[in-house]
Amino acid sequence: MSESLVHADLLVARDAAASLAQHVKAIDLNQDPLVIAAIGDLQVRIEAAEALLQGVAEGSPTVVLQARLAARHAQARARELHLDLTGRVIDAGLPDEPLSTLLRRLGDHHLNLPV
Amino acid sequence: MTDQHPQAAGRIAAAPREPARVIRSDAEAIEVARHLAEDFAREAVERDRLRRLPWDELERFSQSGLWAITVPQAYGGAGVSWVTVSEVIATVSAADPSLGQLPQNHFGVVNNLLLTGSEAQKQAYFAKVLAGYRFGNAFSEAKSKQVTAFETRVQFDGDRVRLNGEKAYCTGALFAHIVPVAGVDEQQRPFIAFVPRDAHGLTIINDWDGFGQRITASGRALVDDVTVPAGDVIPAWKAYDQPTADGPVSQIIQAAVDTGIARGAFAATLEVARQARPWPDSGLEHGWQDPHSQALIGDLAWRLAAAEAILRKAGEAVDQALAEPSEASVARASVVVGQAKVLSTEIALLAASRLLELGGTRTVSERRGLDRFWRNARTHTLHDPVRWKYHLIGNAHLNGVHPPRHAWN
Repeated sequence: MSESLVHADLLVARDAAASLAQHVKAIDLNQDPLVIAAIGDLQVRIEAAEALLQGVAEGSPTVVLQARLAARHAQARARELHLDLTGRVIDAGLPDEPLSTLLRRLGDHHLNLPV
Repeated sequence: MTDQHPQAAGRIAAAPREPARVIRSDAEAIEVARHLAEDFAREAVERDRLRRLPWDELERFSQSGLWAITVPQAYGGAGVSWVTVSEVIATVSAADPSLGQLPQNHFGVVNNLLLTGSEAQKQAYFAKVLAGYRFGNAFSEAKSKQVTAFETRVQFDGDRVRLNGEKAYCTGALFAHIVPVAGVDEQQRPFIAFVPRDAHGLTIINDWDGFGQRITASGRALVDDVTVPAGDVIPAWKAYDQPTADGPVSQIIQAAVDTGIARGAFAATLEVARQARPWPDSGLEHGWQDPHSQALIGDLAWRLAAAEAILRKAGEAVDQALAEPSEASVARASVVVGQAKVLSTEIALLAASRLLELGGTRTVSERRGLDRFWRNARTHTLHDPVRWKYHLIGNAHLNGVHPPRHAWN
């Protein structure tokens, strides 16, 4: 289930990135340095989530949680940039737990590990 | 003449008294790095506070064999992967990022030698590296308009080469046995000359006063009519005339240093957060039960994991570009290394700042030296502007533009 959430969020982010690339080319914004940098920023978020997803298969629940958070971040950044550049809102992925719950669970894991 | 400059650094590293250990595998390199990092962590606060130059630590570092791990197996080295080199640098940098930064240009020069040196030059200098010799650097120009523009002159005259110029940010030069000096010929082609640290006309000035990375001695080098045999000069420009991984190699080490700073800051954050008092409004017994602290630490944790995962991918991309250099593989390496630079910069600065936030006022005591993580992160991440890395990545993705080939990409 958790892994499918990562995939769903990444799908939203990738689709948004592809749609944005077409959009900015269509309105001749693809040479604007700040637009280019914003697209680069989004691409970093997507690549980060994909890199963490690669470790999920052999990883612990912690790795899955890290990938979920990275994918949520990529999805949120994609939706934010899509709204900014197109004025249109895109749907989120699958319903998930609140972001704060995921962050707290991961933080609690690190903070309260036996040392 | 060299020693007459009023600011000239006095001490010059002696040649290795005995050959350095020769590391044989990636796993051995990682193990040695972990062991050394424990050693380097012990006095990191004191070295930073006193700006105590790490002569002894560097001697142990280069004698450990870690400075020779990229020497190819054909020349007697381990030829480890760049995934491993990055992990070694990050491991050492988590303990003391000044020590992690100091071999950066050494590894860069070893790679440029591999790409552009003659067979005789490779045999001679790889042997020195394996024996424990350290390269420094005199690359960045003190007064050029752009970082990629060289003003230092390289004049070929028969079997001798004459060098003149002024260099800045010469990290590693003070502690080096050999100072590679970059300069251009009359055709504006960059060369690198291997100049002995005690060469006549070479003056190293340790005027580095940065508030971070304090013990890197990243000062100036004056190059005043230095002459070396033509056989000690390599045509560095060839590494950029054709697509090679020279730029990504140089850059990935920067990202590894910053990833290491982030690791160190994250570990220190956990330590202070475990000891923090609970806020009275929380109704909790212990600071480590604080839900806000837990969420903030969770946010650091996934960002650090992401930076580490991308750094590994960057290492793989560099290895691929070295093995099969092409326009596409080198561009791919530059882009992934750029991603590593973005994520490592972000998490190093964030973790170093949040460490103090979660630890509270008691963490700002100078005695504890916990501000060093932020000072080091802020200083080292300025090596080249990260804002242009977002642009580099976006331009490749959006417009299919390959990153310009230079040592900062």
